Amino acid sequence: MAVLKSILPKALFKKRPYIREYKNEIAISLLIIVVFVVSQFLSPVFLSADNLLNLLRQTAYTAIAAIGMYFVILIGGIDLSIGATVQIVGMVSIMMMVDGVSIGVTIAAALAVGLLVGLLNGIIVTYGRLQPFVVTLVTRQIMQGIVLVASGGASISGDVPDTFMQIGAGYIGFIPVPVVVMFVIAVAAFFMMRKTTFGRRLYITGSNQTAAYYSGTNVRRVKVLAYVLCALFATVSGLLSVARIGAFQPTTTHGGAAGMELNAIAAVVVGGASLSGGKGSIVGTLLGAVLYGILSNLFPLIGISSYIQQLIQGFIILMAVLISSKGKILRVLRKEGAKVA
Amino acid sequence: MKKIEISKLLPVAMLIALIIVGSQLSDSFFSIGNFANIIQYAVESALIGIGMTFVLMVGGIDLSVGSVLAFSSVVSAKMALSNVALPLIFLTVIAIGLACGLVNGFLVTRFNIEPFMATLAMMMIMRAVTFLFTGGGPLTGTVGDSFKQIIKGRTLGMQNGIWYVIAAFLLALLVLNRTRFGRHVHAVGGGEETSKLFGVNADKIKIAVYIISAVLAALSGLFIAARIGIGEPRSGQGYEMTAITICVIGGISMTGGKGSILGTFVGTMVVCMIKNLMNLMNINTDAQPIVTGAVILITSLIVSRELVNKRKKLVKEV
Repeated sequence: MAVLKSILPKALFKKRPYIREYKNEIAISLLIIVVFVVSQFLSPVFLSADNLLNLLRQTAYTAIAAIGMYFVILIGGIDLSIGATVQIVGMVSIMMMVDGVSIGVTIAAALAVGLLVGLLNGIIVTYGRLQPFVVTLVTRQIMQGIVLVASGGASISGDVPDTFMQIGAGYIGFIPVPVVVMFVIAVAAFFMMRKTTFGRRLYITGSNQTAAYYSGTNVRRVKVLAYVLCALFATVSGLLSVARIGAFQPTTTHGGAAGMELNAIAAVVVGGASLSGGKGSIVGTLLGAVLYGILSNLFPLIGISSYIQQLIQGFIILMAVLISSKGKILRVLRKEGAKVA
Repeated sequence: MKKIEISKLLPVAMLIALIIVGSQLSDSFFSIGNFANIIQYAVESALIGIGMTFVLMVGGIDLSVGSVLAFSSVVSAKMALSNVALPLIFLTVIAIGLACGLVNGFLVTRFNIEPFMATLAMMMIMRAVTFLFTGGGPLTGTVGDSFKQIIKGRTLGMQNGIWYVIAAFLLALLVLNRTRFGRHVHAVGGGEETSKLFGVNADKIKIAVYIISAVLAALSGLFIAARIGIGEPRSGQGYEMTAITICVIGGISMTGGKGSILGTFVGTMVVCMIKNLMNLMNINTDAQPIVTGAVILITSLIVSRELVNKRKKLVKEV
């Protein structure tokens, strides 16, 4: 145990308490810089402007979904249905666009679908008192079934107006639209967590439900809202990605059995959140998504097959969860050490 | 008089209702031939359901069963295609199960990772390994007749599959109710701390249940390979949901400690009958997960509601 204690640079934290607060974010930022530098040597294409913009765009999809997932993980829940939500939203919006419905109505309908999914997840989990991963696994299965039945398992394409495509494929200045949306959402979420009552209630519900209840928080409502936010953010991410292609394919977003939800969970956990709730930050989540994005951008560039990519992704998730649970062990040990001393 | 608990009656009631509804909806449903058929095709679900029961009993979950099944099925198909002796295939399959179960168990106990997260990652990893093993597509060729006979053969006039189902449930019943290990599984699920204070090595028990689950999944993989005669890397997708459905319907508590193998048996029969009925009625296979998903949600909501009411009543009495 003495060894464990000596590994942690305690003096560093004592003099500068703010470093302790941002320990995780600083560590990930350093890791991102290292990976970035190494990537440049591994692939000559990596640092080209085209690839970097592409990387940012891909990161945006994950990051937006990850911020939503962050709220749910913060309150100690989990949402395994966001991949299926992305699919169902993609299908609905492309179907409506092909039918010639106006863009405003389509986006509203997509958001309504997301809202409904989030409400269902949240209400069943909190009021039905069921385990979140079981409920969201089931809703995922049901939504995937609905998508396959409604689309007949075939892709949907047709005349999709150019303005809709601009949402996914367009640029503001030289920055892709999804990236701009990601920044807007991240900033809004950051201020919500820091400056609003609801944000503080999410934190307190996650770290101690009973305390939250006794201090006047409507715990159930906060939890349901977290699931709603998660589904809505997944919807936004789904809209952005489907608008880029302008067509819907029923198999794209769930490669294998695990899709988007795992990327988002990985980003959140890498960003310093704990699956038991109450920990982590928006900045950390964003950085986690960037790190994950760089890695998944790099693998195809250096010629790693998609199966090995999936393998590596599995290991990254495992490592991320491992590190976050190791942190828990270290904290417990340190507390015990303090008691003894 | 003691009030009858709905959750204990629910599985049997569902089974009876299903048989009645089934015989009304389809002429061919209520026949010995069809029931034999249901049970014969229930082997994989039954084995995985039993494994999941053990894992759920200690408060864990194993989402990697489908991928372990797929890996063991492609490996055994590959071995059968190159005419390896049957006992050797059996041993390899069991070794695969042992290894996967050990990894799951270690991740959960030694590394303190939440079971669903650890096994979710394993599910992804094993699926990727399976695809790497076959190179993407299925492994085809002609397998020996003796390999197919594993599942298609008959012993004492009954299909082998039915024997496997009977043997698996009897064995599981014995292990869970009549052995020290079984009592320890109950104890760890009922209260881990308490069981530790009574001298149960909870970590060991947990690793053991993950091994049981993975070995049973690997055996199912062998049976699937023997059934279809090729190594299909996509097989077993969604089997974790089938297993969870079986356990939820069978009244196995998702938080550990409560449940019985008889419940798992009834759950298996209900799930396989629903599937059989949907096939007989020509319901689109894509729509079938919607039905089973709805069944899980409704059943678990009923059970959880009853639990909450019970707790409220207890609080009132105190």
